[in-house]
Amino acid sequence: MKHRFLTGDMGFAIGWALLGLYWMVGSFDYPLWSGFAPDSGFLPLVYGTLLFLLSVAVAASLWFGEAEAEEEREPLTKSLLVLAALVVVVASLGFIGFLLPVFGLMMFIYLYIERLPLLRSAVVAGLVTASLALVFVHWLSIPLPLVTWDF
Amino acid sequence: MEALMDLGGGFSTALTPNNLMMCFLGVFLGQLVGVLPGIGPSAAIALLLPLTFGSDPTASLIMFAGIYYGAQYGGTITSVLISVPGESSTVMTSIDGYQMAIKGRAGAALGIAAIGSFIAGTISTLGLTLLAPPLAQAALAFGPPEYFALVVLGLVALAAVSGRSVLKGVAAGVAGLLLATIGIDPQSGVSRFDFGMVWLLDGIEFIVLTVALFGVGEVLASCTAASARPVAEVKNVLPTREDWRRSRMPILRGSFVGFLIGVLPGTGATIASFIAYIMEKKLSRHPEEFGKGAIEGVAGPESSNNAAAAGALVPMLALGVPGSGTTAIILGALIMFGLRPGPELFTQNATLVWAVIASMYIGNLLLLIMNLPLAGVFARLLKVPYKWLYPPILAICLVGVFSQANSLEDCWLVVGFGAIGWAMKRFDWPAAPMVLGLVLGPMFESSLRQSLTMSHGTAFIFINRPIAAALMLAAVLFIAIPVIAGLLASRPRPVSAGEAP
Repeated sequence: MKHRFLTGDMGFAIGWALLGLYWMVGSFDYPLWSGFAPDSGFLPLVYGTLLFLLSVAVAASLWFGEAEAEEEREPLTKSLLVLAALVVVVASLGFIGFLLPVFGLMMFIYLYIERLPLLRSAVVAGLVTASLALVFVHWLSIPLPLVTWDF
Repeated sequence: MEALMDLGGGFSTALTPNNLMMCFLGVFLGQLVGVLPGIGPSAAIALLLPLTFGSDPTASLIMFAGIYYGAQYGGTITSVLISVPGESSTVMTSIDGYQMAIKGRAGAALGIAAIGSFIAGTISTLGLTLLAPPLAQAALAFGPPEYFALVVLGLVALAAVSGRSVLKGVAAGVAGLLLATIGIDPQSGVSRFDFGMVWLLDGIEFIVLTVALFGVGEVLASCTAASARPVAEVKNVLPTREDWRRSRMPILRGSFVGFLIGVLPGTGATIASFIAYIMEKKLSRHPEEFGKGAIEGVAGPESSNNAAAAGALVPMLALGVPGSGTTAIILGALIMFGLRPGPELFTQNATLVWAVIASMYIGNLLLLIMNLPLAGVFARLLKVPYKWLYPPILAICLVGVFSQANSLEDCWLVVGFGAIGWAMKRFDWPAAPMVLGLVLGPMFESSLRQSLTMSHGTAFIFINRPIAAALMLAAVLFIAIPVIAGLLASRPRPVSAGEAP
């Protein structure tokens, strides 16, 4: 059995606890109280402390709680690939606009991740990209940078 | 009487061609997202939020409400035909509904669900019409301490019932409040936790977090199970006389129970359907049929979850406290449109509120018309594999989030929070309290400051004022009851005489 400290649940709870700790420490950069009412640092201190304590309590319950039968979780690979594709797409948006990255994202998922037929994938991805451009740029008049020279 | 007159005004607004079309669009989309796997009403509303920028708030809210209660109808189709609840509130329907489908009675199950949902939806909308205005009227006397207590109750109630763990729910709510402190403090003008980035001075937008958690996060969590399933055939959706005789009382009981449970903050349609199912099983002369295709097991929970959906709008419209995760997002939409949720909504935006309520009567009728003859058509949508759907959803998330502020940084945030949303889903941390925390954070902070200024810095103001004290007590109970129940359940039972150790 995997050590309880190394589980994703535990890591996630610790992550929240660290965020709470960061907020607790950071809140002292701001005044805590002014007159009768709390000032800018008070609620961040309270929220940070609460998040830290609650997350530590979640971590403790995972550590000390009865070992439950490990739930069957979905594999990570596909989700991580989709997430990586999203990161690449957002990184490229600022340089080449929306059309190509959005179309590319869908094609990458259809062809590489889902192994779907090329022609049907291209048609669906093309139609969706064109519809988005039509709705956002033409109907809603949003200055969406479609290609490089739109920036 | 006054409420009925206001409702008449609401009908005149809701029946304009534009609003009627938005109502149809809302219930149609709701039905669609209820049927399609991997996308729920929360995600659908989140994805549509950017499209409604600058449009008429009344029409947009009519559409959002339609998506909300329409999804309850759509979720039934997946529950009955493939035993996969489209919504958590239709879990109970899948037990007997799917058994009916196996016996070749999928049409009757869907038919009685549609009729029961229509009756329950209409009864509970009537309840909403009659109950919300006096509640809002009473709440008009609220001052900052009562608002503060209301926000505490809303957050705690949603956090306590959203996931399997109260701790995780409350922590998620606090995380939302914490995110709300990013940016310029409106009271002092000090910039907090902006990490030296100018684009964070305005804080994190509600849309960004909602689309990230309910759109991208949901996709990342569901894309791994993107296969199609076999779907049962739908024939003869009109129930027989015997079906109707057995279902009419469960429908009525489910309507009233669902409405009452929906009105309680934080409970919502899922709990309502569970209680209705258990109640019908207890009251039935043939409890042994439950789980094997009893039509009462479909009629009761289906009526109850639809009644609860309208019931959950009572605290949201009258008090500004959402009754469920989806109403929390609708509440955020209200704020996005520059409206102040709470009792003043009924006085300051009466036209909007009554138009939304009136549209619910119309929407329920539209759903009945759509569901009886078109149940088979919607059932065919179940054959569309999720792998064809989720890439366009991701594309809409990115383009939609960018369009609300023309900001590439928001796209980065959506990816980052999307990853967090995925992890939350994977590790069973509820996302709705986090969104609600972000939405209610500014109101929480300002009402706390105003209350303490009024009381010269003493927190007794939240106990000395009866309404605030009652709301705070309710919040404490929401936390305490599940915790105590959990502790009692985990205590080792004493071994009785004669029982093997």
